[in-house]
Amino acid sequence: MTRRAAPAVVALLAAVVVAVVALGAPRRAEALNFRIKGQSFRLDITESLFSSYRGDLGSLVIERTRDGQRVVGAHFYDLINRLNLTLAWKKLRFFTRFDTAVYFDTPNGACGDPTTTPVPLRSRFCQRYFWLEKIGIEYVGRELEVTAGDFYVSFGRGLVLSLRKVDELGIDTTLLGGKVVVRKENVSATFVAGVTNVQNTDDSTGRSTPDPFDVIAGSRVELRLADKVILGIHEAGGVFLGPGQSRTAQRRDGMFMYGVSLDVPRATKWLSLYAEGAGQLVQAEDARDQGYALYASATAQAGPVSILVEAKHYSKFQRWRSSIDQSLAEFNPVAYNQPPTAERVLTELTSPIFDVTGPRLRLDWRATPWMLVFASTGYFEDRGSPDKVKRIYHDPYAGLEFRWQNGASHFFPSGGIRFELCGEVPSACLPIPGTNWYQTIGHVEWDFTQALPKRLSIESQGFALFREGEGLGDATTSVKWTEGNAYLALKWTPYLILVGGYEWSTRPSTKVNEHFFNGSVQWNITTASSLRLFAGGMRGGLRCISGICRDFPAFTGVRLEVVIRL
Amino acid sequence: MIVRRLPAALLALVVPLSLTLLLTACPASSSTGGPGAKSGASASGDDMKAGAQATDFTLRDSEGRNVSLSDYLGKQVVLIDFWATWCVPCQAAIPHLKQLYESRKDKGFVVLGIAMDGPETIAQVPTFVQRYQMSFPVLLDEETKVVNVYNPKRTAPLSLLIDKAGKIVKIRSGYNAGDEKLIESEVDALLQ
Repeated sequence: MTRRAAPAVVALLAAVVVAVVALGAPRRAEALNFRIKGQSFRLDITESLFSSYRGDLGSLVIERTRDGQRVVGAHFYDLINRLNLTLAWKKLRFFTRFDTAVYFDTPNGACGDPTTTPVPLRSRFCQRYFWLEKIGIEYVGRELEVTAGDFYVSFGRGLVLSLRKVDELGIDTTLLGGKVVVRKENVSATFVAGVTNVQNTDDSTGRSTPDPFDVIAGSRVELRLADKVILGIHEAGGVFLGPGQSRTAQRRDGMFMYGVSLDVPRATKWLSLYAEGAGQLVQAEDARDQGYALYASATAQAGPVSILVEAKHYSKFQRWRSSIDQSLAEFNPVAYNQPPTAERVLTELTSPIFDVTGPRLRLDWRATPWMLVFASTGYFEDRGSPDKVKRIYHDPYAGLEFRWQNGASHFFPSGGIRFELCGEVPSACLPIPGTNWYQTIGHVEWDFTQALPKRLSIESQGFALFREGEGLGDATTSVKWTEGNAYLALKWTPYLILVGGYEWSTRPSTKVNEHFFNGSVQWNITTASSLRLFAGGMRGGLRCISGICRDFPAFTGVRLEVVIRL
Repeated sequence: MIVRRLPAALLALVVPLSLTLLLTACPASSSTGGPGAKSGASASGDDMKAGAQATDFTLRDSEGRNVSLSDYLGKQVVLIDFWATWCVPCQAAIPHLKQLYESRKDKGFVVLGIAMDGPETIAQVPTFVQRYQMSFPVLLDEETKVVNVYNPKRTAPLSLLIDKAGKIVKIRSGYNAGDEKLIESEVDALLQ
């Protein structure tokens, strides 16, 4: 794709999109129904198109001239498309997803021979014009479900096996094979077997990977006892590539896990309980390891007050990683189990499951019909951090939910501070001078909506982090920085949304302080279809969801997003 | 399937969009327009005559019982609402859904709240249900099995309105202040 042709092509594509959207605008938001030989069929279509001009190639790849000078202002274009199709007939459902990832104006040498291409360009900006990402057919009955093709699966609370979508991190892992679920009165059983099928292209960085095709099989049986207790027994195992093995080599490493769960949703009218334990056997690089995990939660209600207690004890319990090339950092978060961390969903976690123990308590109090107050605290001891140092975490936070105008308007503020302390070997953990704290992370979040007349509303949401430490200073100097997002929106329900945003990070890294401004407009074509245009910048940085963290690059440019749902 | 070079780049976009264009241009099997069609019905009523039979599913509810969509299909007006404990717009929408359910449940209306929480946050669902006093059935989709059927983009919140014949008549993505009034009028039109 030549540099001169790229803008023309993108403009043409944008014109096609707009034309389609305009034609689709009068459509109601429902599926397409048709008949063949007297039989009724339903076709669901979800089409997602993202097209960007990215004026920030330097966030991903450093381009240099022949003289070795860094190129400033390098840019590229991308076009990402996802087409989901579902055809339903009686109890049968056929589904498929086609993806496209096309790039223009990319650096020379991108997506070259893996053995000679530098890591920044390796597997990056590979043209994938139209490929089959997911496919399957399933029969869904009340007592029997059978799937052939791609499916998601999770046993218990994910300690042993969990293949799900985590869109926020660009993860969408399925098992491509077969799944059978049988239900009969108080017994149900699930059997799965297949090879793993991951999302091949990372939208935010343009990196792609072939599917690992790691072999996995597992089963779970559930018994409902005395109409109160659900006892579950499950196991799962699989094989994967060892370090340095080529994709065509016979897999020599493997993992086997087994577990038991006890779920009592209504132990009493006011109490529910859950407990799960799992054992793990790992064969890796001709060595064997064992580990185990214990997790429990309890919920109690007393009038306007509810209490949640969670506790975890993980001992040498490994994440079930994939065979994807570990040099492709974007795909490192792909894993086949997802044990609960008992932490705040958005907290940065260094080693949330390997060798860690601790509880979390959360208390909610509905003070009035329109106001709720909550508070939470957690205490964890980490014995498995990379530097083998025992680290201790304290994580208290609190907030409230306040509503008015019969719930049409609301304000949800919250905040807290997370302390991470150095443990038994302080010399291996650089603390903040004068303390034994490794780092502190103060945080404030808010979500505010004020309803206005004529279906208008004004909204604001965002968060701010106040950080100190993280080993960035030295024995005498403490380093502090802040980062966060703040957004303000004007909405005209159900038609239009105008948003302005500000993001910042003063993190003392190789870059100067970073400030990003952006704006977007979203037109809701129907209640389920939309077109959004974004322009400006978004800061990069670590993003963590449910104990899984990955680094996202900054974005500067223009982005068009079209979602059409039929 | 790989197609090379510049025409293929255009093809990659045009194929899926053309498919969408073609299908959007085809009239629905039970369209409401055409010569001689009655006029005067409310816009929301006309919008809701077309639709498609919803696919059945079975999930466990927050009390451990198996609940199937077919328990309600063809008998009641059903609003399926996909939500999650980490979703702030869901927290704004749920009190309105609760109010809607309680005021119309005796008229043949039910809300099925499907929690999309995974292993990390599923423990918070019981306290969330109690906190918001969710009186309608709350189903747990830890595996994202039903999400894959009705909500492949895993949008939160996302709602589907199903009429008494079991057909999907409305899909709504997200929640904005004022949406509750629109949902109310759509439900009332189906309950008539």
